[in-house]
Amino acid sequence: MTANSRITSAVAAVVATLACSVATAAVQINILNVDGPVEGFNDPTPVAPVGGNPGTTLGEQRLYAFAYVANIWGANLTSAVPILVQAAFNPLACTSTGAVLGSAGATQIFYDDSLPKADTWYPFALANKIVGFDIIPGFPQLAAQFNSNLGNPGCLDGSPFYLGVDNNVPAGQVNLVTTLLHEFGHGLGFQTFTSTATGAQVLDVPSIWDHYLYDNSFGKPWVQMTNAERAASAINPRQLVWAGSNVTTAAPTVLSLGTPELTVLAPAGVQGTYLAGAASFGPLLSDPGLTRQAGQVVDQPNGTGLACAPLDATNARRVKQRIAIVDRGVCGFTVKVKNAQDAGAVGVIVVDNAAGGPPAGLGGADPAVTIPAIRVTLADGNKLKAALNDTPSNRSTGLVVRLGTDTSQLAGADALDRVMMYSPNPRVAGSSVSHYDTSAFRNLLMEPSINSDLTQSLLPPEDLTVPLLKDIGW
Amino acid sequence: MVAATLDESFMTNSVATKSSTGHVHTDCAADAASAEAAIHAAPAQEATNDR
Repeated sequence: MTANSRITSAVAAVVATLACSVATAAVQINILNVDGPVEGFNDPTPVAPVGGNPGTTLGEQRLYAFAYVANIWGANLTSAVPILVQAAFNPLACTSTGAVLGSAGATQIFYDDSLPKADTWYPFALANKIVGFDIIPGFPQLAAQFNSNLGNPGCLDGSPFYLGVDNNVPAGQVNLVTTLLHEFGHGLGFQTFTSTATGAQVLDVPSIWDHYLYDNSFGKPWVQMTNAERAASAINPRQLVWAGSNVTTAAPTVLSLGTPELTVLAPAGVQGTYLAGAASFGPLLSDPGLTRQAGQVVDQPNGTGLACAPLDATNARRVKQRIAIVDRGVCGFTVKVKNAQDAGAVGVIVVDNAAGGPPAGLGGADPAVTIPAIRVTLADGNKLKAALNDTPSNRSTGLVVRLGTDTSQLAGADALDRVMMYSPNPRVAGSSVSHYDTSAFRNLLMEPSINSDLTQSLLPPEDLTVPLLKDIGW
Repeated sequence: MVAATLDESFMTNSVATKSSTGHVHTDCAADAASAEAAIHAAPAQEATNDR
């Protein structure tokens, strides 16, 4: 990377291509290419145009994708001050099966009496918008770098960035546009600058973000909490919500009614409602839902049941016409559920194999799956298993459960339509609190998982990203 | 106007992990150190969300 290289002719060409749409934008967002002459955005490797991206070199296509995303953001925000994004493609950490795709964020934060909330940190681009001038002229407000080796041997082998802009991503490739939309969102202000580990604020000053975080357990916002309370709130699953009016007003137009839940009806010792993660495959959970006895698959020497292979006769008897309890691990969720379905199960509960909560959803896709499935935490799953009794003929009895939804609440919001923020326990460094919760449905751009069903919209009825940014002052 | 410069620990990182079936799962995972830990743990700990 050449640190101070400026916009190249390749950049200029792409920006010119987008000139018409940029001209109508409410804020101009410019990409500052800091790559060297034959790398990253300037990589001369010939490529064929793909998915609406007209570039004919790898570098041109990368730059077009960045400019395309800048154009989307530019059309959705307002500011008299142009935004400069310093950007580069560099080799980042990789293995054959995992890779850092990229990183992004604001470069500076500010507080001042001229900003709406006193003694509060504002991200650079937002502070510029509010004061109406560039606080540090010529200095980028955002910085971003993405992985130049993605898809090469040893770096998520064979799975490069998809550089098309049509959201039609081939299987096994990574959608650069959606990833960039998400990361730019953080850089524009979709994050707290307060430590989620300790609750400590930068120089004891809260972020503008923290004014809108409200914990239903504590009954107060983050800005009124001690450091210890904030740290506890950051790992308080589905109790931390966003209390901004723009998001709350828009939530019913975006999120579906019905929060996934598992209800245990018997035996008495475990009766109650448990948190559940919904599956991205199979039928949607409904109300009143599916009520049946549960049966546990046991196909491993340690007493667990992976259901990664067709169930044998003993396990088929355990789950036939019942809701099968299987354990996470080794194979895909769709494989487990399909094997249970083929054995006669009418629903599946996947028990997580790692401690923590709330339960994430079940990813994957298989149109052949026709029964509902959920995920529960390891702790809850162990409670369920302990409540089962096996008859001599291996018919599990005693545990009656319901897979359904709580239709009184939006999926991913509390009873007041305040959207939940991601606050898993244990904490996920850099991710907790600065995302919407994974229980939101429809899926949102600013959830921690960048889901494959996202559109390129940042607005209701598809998304809640821009309403949140409006809450903090955009 | 009081300013603070944000270092890389304030940047968010996206990571991708690939399952044995070839499905690629993308997360805005973490700070840089956690992102690296996630990709190295992926095969053993099933960091992908589809298995």
